[in-house]
Amino acid sequence: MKSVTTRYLMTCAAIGAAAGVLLIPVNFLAFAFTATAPMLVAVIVGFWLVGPVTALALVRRPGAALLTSGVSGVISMASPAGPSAIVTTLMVGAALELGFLITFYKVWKPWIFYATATAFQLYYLYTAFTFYEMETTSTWTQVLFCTLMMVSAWAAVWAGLRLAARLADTGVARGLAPRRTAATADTARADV
Amino acid sequence: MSAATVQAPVVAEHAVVAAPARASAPRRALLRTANPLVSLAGPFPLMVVVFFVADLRVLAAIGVATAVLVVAGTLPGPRMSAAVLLGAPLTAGIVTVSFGFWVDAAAVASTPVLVQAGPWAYHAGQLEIGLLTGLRVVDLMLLALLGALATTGPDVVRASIQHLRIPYRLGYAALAAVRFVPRFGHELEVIRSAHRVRGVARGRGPVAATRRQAGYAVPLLAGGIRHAERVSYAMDARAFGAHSTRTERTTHPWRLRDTVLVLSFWAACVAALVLAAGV
Amino acid sequence: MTASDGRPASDLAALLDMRDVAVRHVLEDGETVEVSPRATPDGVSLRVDVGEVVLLLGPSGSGKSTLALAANGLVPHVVPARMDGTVQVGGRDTRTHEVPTLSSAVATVFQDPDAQVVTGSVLDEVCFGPENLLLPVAEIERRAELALRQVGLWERRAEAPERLSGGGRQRLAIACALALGSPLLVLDEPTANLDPAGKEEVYDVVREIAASGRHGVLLVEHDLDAAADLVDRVVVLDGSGRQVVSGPLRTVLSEHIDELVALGVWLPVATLAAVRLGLRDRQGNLPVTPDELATLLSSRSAAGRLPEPRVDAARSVAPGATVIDVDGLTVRARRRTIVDDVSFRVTAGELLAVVGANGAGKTTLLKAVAGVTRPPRRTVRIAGLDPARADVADLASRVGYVFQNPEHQFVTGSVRAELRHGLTVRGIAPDESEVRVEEMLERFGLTDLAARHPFLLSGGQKRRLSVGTAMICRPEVLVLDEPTYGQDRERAAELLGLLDALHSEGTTVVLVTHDMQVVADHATRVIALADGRIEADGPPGLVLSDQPLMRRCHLRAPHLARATSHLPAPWNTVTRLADVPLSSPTAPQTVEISA
Ligand SMILES: Nc1ncnc2c1ncn2[C@@H]1O[C@H](COP(=O)(O)OP(=O)(O)OP(=O)(O)O)[C@@H](O)[C@H]1O
Ligand SMILES: Nc1ncnc2c1ncn2[C@@H]1O[C@H](COP(=O)(O)OP(=O)(O)OP(=O)(O)O)[C@@H](O)[C@H]1O
Ligand SMILES: [Mg+2]
Ligand SMILES: [Mg+2]
Repeated sequence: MKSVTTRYLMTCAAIGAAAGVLLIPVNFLAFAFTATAPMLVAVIVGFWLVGPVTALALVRRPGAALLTSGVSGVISMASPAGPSAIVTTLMVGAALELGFLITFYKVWKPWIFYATATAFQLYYLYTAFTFYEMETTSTWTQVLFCTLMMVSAWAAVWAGLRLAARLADTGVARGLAPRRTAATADTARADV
Repeated sequence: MSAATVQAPVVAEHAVVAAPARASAPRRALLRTANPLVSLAGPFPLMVVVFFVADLRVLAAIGVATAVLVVAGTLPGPRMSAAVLLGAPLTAGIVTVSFGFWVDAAAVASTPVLVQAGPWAYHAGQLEIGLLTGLRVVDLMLLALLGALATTGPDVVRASIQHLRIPYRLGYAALAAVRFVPRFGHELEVIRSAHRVRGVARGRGPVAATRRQAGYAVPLLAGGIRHAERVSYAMDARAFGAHSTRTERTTHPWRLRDTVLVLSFWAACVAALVLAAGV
Repeated sequence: MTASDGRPASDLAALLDMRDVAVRHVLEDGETVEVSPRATPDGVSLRVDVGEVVLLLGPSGSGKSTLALAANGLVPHVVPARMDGTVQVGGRDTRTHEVPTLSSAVATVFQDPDAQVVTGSVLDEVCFGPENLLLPVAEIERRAELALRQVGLWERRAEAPERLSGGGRQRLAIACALALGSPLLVLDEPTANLDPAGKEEVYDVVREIAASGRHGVLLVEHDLDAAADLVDRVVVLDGSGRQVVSGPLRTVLSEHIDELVALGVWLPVATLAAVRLGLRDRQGNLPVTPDELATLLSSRSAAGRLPEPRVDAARSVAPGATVIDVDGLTVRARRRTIVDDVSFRVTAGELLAVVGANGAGKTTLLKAVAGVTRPPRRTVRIAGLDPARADVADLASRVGYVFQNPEHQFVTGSVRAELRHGLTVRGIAPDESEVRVEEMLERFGLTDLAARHPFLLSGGQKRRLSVGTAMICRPEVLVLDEPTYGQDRERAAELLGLLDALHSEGTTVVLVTHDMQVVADHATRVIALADGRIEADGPPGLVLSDQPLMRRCHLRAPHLARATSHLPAPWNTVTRLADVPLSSPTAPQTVEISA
C-alpha cells in the first residue's frame, strides 16, 4: 500500500469519476431496457468496460482497473442501482485484472484486453441466460443477443484503448506508467 | 462564490462542529439510520438468489416484501412511495407480456392458447415464463432501489473504511473523486462551447455527433487527470498516508440493530431457497 | 561560516535549508524515459528561519515551482525528477523522509485553490491534515478552530468550500497548512487567480503569520506589489534556473535593478517608476511600495524637482463605427442571474478592459457577447452579426475568442495542426495557410515546438498558442479572457505589445483582467462589473481613480495611482507607467517595457 502513490490513486479516481458519471444515465437506461426490451441491454453492457480499460491501458499498473471501476461504482450509486452498482463495477474491474494477472502484468498487448473482455462477456452471457430464461427463446433471439453483447464489449475495448492512447499523447500519464523494460531505463540513466 | 458572500457570512444557528454524517436522512427511517453497509450486505445475497430461483410464489413474495421495506424502511416521501407501490406491479405486468413474445412458441405449444390472431398464437406457457422474468426484474430493481434510497456512495465508502478494513487511502481517493463530478460537468460545458467555436466536427447525424462527443473525452479526461494530480500533491503535502490509519471524527458505528437487520435479510435468503427447493 | 545566500548561518536548525539544489525532470511514459538535459532550478542554496519571509523570484520556467515542491519532498519522491544537492526541513533530510511524514515540518499552499479541496465542508477540510497525523479528536478540533479563527473563516466552518470566494478558499488552504502545525509555510503563487480584494485578504493573513514569530515562509509570487512590504529576503533565479543574487529585498532591488529588469521578472511598479525617474532616497535605495514612492515623489514635488508627467493624447479614440452593440443582455444559468440587463457599445479600434471580482460574471458576459454561448436573440450584435442566429463559422472568422484556460480550446495533436485548424475550417488554400502558420510560429517563438502536443507546452507557451489560434484568422474583434495570467513580465509585455499593435491596426480588442496596472497601461476604456451588472463604464483614468467604486467592485486602484493620488496636479492623474517621464539619462532603456 505504501508503494502506491497518491497520484496513481487519484489518476484512477479521476478516470473512475468520469466513468461513473457516464454510468449514471446508463444505469437508468439499463433499468428501463430490462423492463421493456432486454435485447437493448446487450447493446449497453460495453459502457461498464470503457473506464477500467482506459485506466489499465493508460497507467499499466496492477489494480488500476479494479480501483477505477470501484470509484465509478461509488459515483454511479446515485442512480436506481444503489450500492449494487459497486458490486457490478467491481466485478468488471476484477475480471479485467485477471487477464493481466495471468501474464504477471508484463504484457500489455491489445489482444489481451479483447480476450479478457470476451471471456468476461461469456460469463455474463451465462448469467443473463439464467436470468432471462433465454433457453426458452428462439434460436435467432439467442444469436442476436450474443452477437450484440460481444460487439458492444469489443467496441468498448476499442474505444478505451484509443482513448488511452490519445490521453498518453497529452502527457498526463508521464511518470505513472512503469518503464516498459529495464533496458530503456538503464540507457536513460547512462545519458545523464 | 459570489463576492457578496464574503462580506455577509451566513451561518445557520445550529451550525455544529462535527459535520452531520447524513444530514438529509429522516430520523425515523429504519434503513437510513442503520449502518450504510447494511444496505449492501443485506440485499445483495437476495439479488443473487433472485437470479437462480425459478419459483413464482417465492419471487412474488420477495417482491412484495421488498416493496414494503422500501416504503417503510427508507420513508422516501409520498411521490416515490406511490411510484414504487404502483410502478412495481405495472412493470411486472409489462415485462411479463413483452417477455412472453420472446419465448419460442414451439417449446410451449402444448400449453393452452390464450390469444389467437390468424396463424399467430400466444400460449399460457409463454405468459408463465414471461411472468418469471417479470418478477425477477422487479425484484432486482426493488432490491437495488432499497440500497439507493437508504444510503449514499460516500457513506458506504466511509463505513467500509471503518468496518471492512478497506485501506483508507483507497477510500479517500473515491471520496475525493465525488468532488470531481460537478467539476466535470462545468468543464464539459466549456469544452463543448470551445470546440463549437473552433468548428470541430460540424455537421448533423449520429456519426458527426459521436465524433464530437469523442472529441470532448480527451480534453475532459486530460484536464481531470491533471486536476487529480494537483489534488494528490495537496493531499500528500497534508500528511495523507503518514500512518496506516487515520483519526475519523465522524463514525458509522455498527450496532446490534444492524446485525439483526442483516441476519433478517440472510434468513429471507435461506427461506427463499428452501421454499423454492419445494421442501 | 556563512550560508551561500550571504547571511551568517546560525547553529539552530533552519526551518528550511537547501544546498546546491538542482532538479532535472524525468519524462517517462511507458515507452521512453527521457531526462531533461537542463536542470531547473540549477544549484540553488537558500535558508528560511523562524519569523522570515523569503521570496523566490525568477522568470517563467526558471524552476520556482519545482523548488517549492522540493521543499516538501514531493520532488523527488512523487514528482518524477532527479535531484542533486540536499534539502533539509527542520533538520530532516527530505531524501530520507517520506512526504507525508515531512508535513509536520512543512506545509504547502498551491496556486489553484480548487485543486486543494478534498472534503465537503470547511471544517472537515481543516481537520483532514491533523486526522492523517493520527491526533486525538479533541486536539484536532482545537487546532482547526485556532487555524480557522486565524484566517477569519471560523464563522463559515459548516459551509461547503465551493461556496467560498477564490480568496476565501485560498485562506482556507492556508488554514489547512496552519492546522498541520508545521512551522514552515511554502506558498506557490497563492493569489494568482484572485481579484485584488481576495489578494489583499490572503496577504493580510500571511502578514499576520509572519508577524507571529512562530513561522517561516517561502513565497513564490509574481505580483511583487502585493507582497513587497512583508518580504524579508529575496532569492533570484535566472531563466536557466541558476541563482543569480540573494539578500534583503530592498538591497537586491536597489543594487541589482538592471540585472532584474534584464531577467524579465516582475518588479514592483513603484520601483519601476522610480527607475524611470532616476529617483532614489538618501541612502540610495529604490522605493518598493506605493507608499514609499509617494513619500519620495511628494518630497521631490515639494522641492519643485519633479518633472512634468507625459500626457499621451494618442490614446483617446476617435469615435468610429459600432462593432459591438449589447442591448439588455441577461444570462441565466441554473436559476441564477449571472449577467443582469447589461447594455454597452464598443466602437472600432477601442481596447476595452472588463474588470470585476471573482464570480462577477466577466467570463459569462464575454462568452455571450462573442457568441461562444448563444445569447438571447436581438440582444447582441458583433461585427455585423447576431451571435444568437449567426453561423458558427461566420462568427468565428470575424470574432476571435481566447479562453481563460487555454487547454479547453485545443482540438488537435500538435502546435502546427492547432494553428492550421482554423484556416482549414475556413477553407483557406493550403499554401496560403502554410505561410500564415509559419509566420505565426515565428512571431510567438513556437517554431521549435511546432510538432509538440499542445498539452505538453509550458503554461506561458499554451497561452501564446491559444492567442495565436485566434489571431491567425485575422478577426475584426479579438476577445481575451485573462491573457497575461501566469506569464512573466517579459512574456506579458510581449503579449500586451502584440495586442497594442493589433489594436492600432484597427482590431477591436476586449479583454478581462485582474491586473489594474495592465488596465491603466493599455485599455482605452473600462467596464467594471459587480454581480452581473455594469457598475461603471468609462476611460481608465476616471474609473480606476474612483475609490468607493473600486472597493464596491472588490477592486483596488493600480499601484502607481496609489503612489500619485496625493500629489498636486497634473501628477495626481498619472496611472500609467508610460506617463512617468524618463527623466534620467542613466535610467536603463529596458524599463521602457511597461509593467
Ligand atoms: N512535471 C514536469 N515534467 C517535466 N517537466 C517539467 C515538469 N514540471 C515542470 N517542468 C519543467 O521544468 C521547468 C521549471 O518549471 P517550473 O514549473 O518549476 O517553473 P516556474 O519557475 O514555477 O515557472 P512559472 O513562473 O511559469 O510558474 C520548466 O521548463 C518546465 O517545463
Ligand atoms: N453554467 C453555469 N451554471 C451555473 N453557474 C454558473 C455557470 N457559469 C458560471 N456560473 C457562475 O456564475 C458566476 C460568474 O461566473 P464567471 O465565470 O462569469 O465569473 P468571472 O467574473 O469570470 O470570475 P473569475 O474572475 O473568477 O474568472 C460564478 O459564480 C459562477 O459560479
Ligand atoms: Mg510556477
Ligand atoms: Mg472568468
